[in-house]
Amino acid sequence: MPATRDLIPYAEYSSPDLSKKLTVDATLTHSTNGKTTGPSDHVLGAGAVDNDKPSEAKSSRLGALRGMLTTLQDDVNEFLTQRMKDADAAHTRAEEEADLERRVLDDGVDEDDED
Amino acid sequence: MSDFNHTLAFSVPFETARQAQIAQRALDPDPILKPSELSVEYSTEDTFLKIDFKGRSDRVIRVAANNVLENLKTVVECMDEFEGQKDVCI
Repeated sequence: MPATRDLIPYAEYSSPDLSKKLTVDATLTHSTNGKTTGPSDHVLGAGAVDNDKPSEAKSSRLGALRGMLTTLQDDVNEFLTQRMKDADAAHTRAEEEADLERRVLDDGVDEDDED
Repeated sequence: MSDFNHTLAFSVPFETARQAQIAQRALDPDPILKPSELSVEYSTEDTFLKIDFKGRSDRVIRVAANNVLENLKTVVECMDEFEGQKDVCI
């Protein structure tokens, strides 16, 4: 690991069902151009110019820290986005199961239908 | 709050304790948009900046953490560019 990459940030996540530590591999080079920040590829592909694009990291300890913070930010964003998707999918599944159970128990008969 | 059962804690090392304190003071004034759903606390331990998010859901933590990290990167960049330089009147 280069001497300038000794400032290594990390994050610790916890929720009722999961604990996880998110770390950055300091042996790699980290860009300041994040995957989950800035305009989407679709917007850029349509010809947009990113005027807020971050400057390249300097070859200093703080420059390396900024690159590693960008990677950590990407990792946190992707991790939490996946957690949100999983929670939404579980919610939808639970609703479908409850609906199926209700239909089976009711045997397809509508209670309001009394003729 | 007791129902803030999702947490995300960042630990960010700086070169000096002073840098960590400057980062804390730069980020701390930013108001929290939904205090009923989220809390954010900044502190320093020696050369480390600690940022603790506590929230009701992954969603509110993701939005807040992304915003704070974006600001933190600007703070680090400013230190990298300007620290140690004398003021110059142009």
